[in-house]
Amino acid sequence: MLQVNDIHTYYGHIHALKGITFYVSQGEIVTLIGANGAGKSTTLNTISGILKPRTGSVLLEGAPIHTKPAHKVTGLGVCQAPEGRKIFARLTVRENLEMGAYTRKDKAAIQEDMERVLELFPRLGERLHQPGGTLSGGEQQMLAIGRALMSRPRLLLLDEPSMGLAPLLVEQIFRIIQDINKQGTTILLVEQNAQMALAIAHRGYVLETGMIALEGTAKELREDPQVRAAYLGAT
Amino acid sequence: MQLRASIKAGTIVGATALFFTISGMFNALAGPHIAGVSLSHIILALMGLWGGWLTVRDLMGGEESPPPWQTTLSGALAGIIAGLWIAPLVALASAIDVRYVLDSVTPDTITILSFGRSLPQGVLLLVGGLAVLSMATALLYPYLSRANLQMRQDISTSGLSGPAFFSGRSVRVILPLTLLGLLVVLAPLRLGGYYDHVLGSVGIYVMMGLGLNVVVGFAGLLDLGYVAFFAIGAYAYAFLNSPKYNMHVGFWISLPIVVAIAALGGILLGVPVLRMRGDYLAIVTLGFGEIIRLFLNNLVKLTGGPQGILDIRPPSLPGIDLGNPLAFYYLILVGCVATAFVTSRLDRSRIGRAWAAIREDEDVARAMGIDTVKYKLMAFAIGASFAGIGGSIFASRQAAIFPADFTLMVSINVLCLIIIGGMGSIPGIIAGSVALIGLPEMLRGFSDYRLLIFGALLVIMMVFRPEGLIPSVRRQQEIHEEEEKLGIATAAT
Repeated sequence: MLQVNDIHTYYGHIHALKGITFYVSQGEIVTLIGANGAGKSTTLNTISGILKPRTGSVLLEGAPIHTKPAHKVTGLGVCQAPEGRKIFARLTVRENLEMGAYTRKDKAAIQEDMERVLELFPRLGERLHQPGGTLSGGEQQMLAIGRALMSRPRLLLLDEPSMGLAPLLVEQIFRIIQDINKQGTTILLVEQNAQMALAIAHRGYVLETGMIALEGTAKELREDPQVRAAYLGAT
Repeated sequence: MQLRASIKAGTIVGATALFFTISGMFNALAGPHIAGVSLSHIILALMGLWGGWLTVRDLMGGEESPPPWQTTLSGALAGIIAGLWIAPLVALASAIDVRYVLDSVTPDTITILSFGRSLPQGVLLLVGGLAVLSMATALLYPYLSRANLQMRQDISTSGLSGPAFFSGRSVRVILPLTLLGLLVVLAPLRLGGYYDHVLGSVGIYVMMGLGLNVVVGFAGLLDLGYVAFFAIGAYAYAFLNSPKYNMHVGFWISLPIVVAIAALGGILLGVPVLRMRGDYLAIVTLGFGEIIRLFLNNLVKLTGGPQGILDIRPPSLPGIDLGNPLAFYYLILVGCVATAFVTSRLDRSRIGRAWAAIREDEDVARAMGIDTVKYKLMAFAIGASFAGIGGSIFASRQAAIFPADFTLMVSINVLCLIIIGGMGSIPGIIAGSVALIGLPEMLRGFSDYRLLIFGALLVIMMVFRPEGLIPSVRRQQEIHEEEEKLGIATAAT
């Protein structure tokens, strides 16, 4: 479904991605794990069109999307729940969700999806008319994911959904991510919490300093001695 | 605790009264009488009432309200404290001439403040009067606030259920609005040319405020060069309707042309600043405003330079003369209503939602699939169009325009009236224009102190009501949310 070919992305003179190549197939959860500064978020932002690769290509079902502006990429069904839960703090929960469906015009289906999101996250239903900024951290993350779902994405990009959340909440959010995947949405998950990410993913890639250091099925990576030592805290 | 509330309220009221005394405002206001009482005495009485209100509001803030006798006593005390702020000055000034130092404290002032009585009696009357009035509000406050609460509940419940027209809402909301509407339409007929002219100016600023509100309030793009579009509109109209180029296109045909030119100007400014945000955007737009003014000033052959353009034709309708202040007032009124209608529809449209997203977070807006380039340019263009229309009317009304009419001060005034009225709120902007443009005219009676009073009002306003006169619901939430957060933070430390 998504094919990323040898992308090089720069921040000015800083060479952030040094040739990243990977793919995501229909129906999968694929995770990118790695330390701070490895280039995980940069990779996501390159896919979603916020950053442009200097060389290389991003193909969505064979068609290049790296040449398109970010809002067009969203229109094609690739939606990102950005890092740090960037919700619209002053808009209500409902307005946030409606904003997620901005590219769509099918009112009835939007209403359906709104109900589906509220089913996934009942907590949001209780807070529909509250400004997003008054929600707790976990609820804001739920809102960010829910908002991304409102665009009815084919590919959902999640950037560190566990960031700054209590362990119990992280588990809850990851269970929901799995549910979303089972309902047919392909997911590309960027995570620092390698343990959790590899527990729900089908396949994974380990990023180090802008390059892919390792790849394999989640099971292989979980058992890999290098990964265990570096990311899973095993001795 | 009770004592502190009285001292605080008394000090605020007393200091205000002292300021009024020293600045000579009581003298200036002594002239007009309402029901046989001079305006300065009415204001003095209002100050007394205000003192009681401040005291009780402070006392009622806590968990449990003190008993009525205590609030009443505190109110009286506040009145006495307020009186003690000015009493010494009154006593001193009636004994010796203080005009060498305080040149506005004249014998007239003393006569006003001591109600024409001799020294001990007059001062007692002043302090006693303030105390009685302050006590009266303190006594009545609980009843008034209960009635107020009841009214608010009525409005909120009737908003949710029942046909609005027959419920309390129709009486409390629609009726005053209708009366206000009638006043706005009919009052100028009796006011006379000078006031019609002032109201016309207010109206032009309402249009500009509503236009800038699209850019600043809806899309969140801080534009300090808004005057540029006003100037473009005015000059475009002047070129089309003056002997300068010997073109007399007429107002109604010029209007769409001017709108197109101004919108183009908006896009011209918008394109280079697309990537800029916040402070940087403000600086660049500020520069843009100055560039346009300097062009107008220095392209002498094209624009007439500092001599400006003269003999601009007023608008006309077959059979009606539109050249007098009253006709202009109605023309501007129609413009304001149209602008208010269009901007309020825009706010609730898909475009308005895109603007809200851009205002909140541009990056996320893009991630939501919003074409930020398109909508930002649209905001600049639409905002500029309204300024262009305002400029056309301005040029046709003045009949002569000069580069000096289009200084940075105009941009700042428009921005100020948005902030004072309540950013993002259409009724707020109308109130802001009346306050900011109308008030200085109304205060002309104070001559020298006009701008001082005006400045003081602005400061007071921003301290006590930062969200603006009639804020949009969201903006009000925002500011009070911050207060709540601060409250929590201080409680935690």
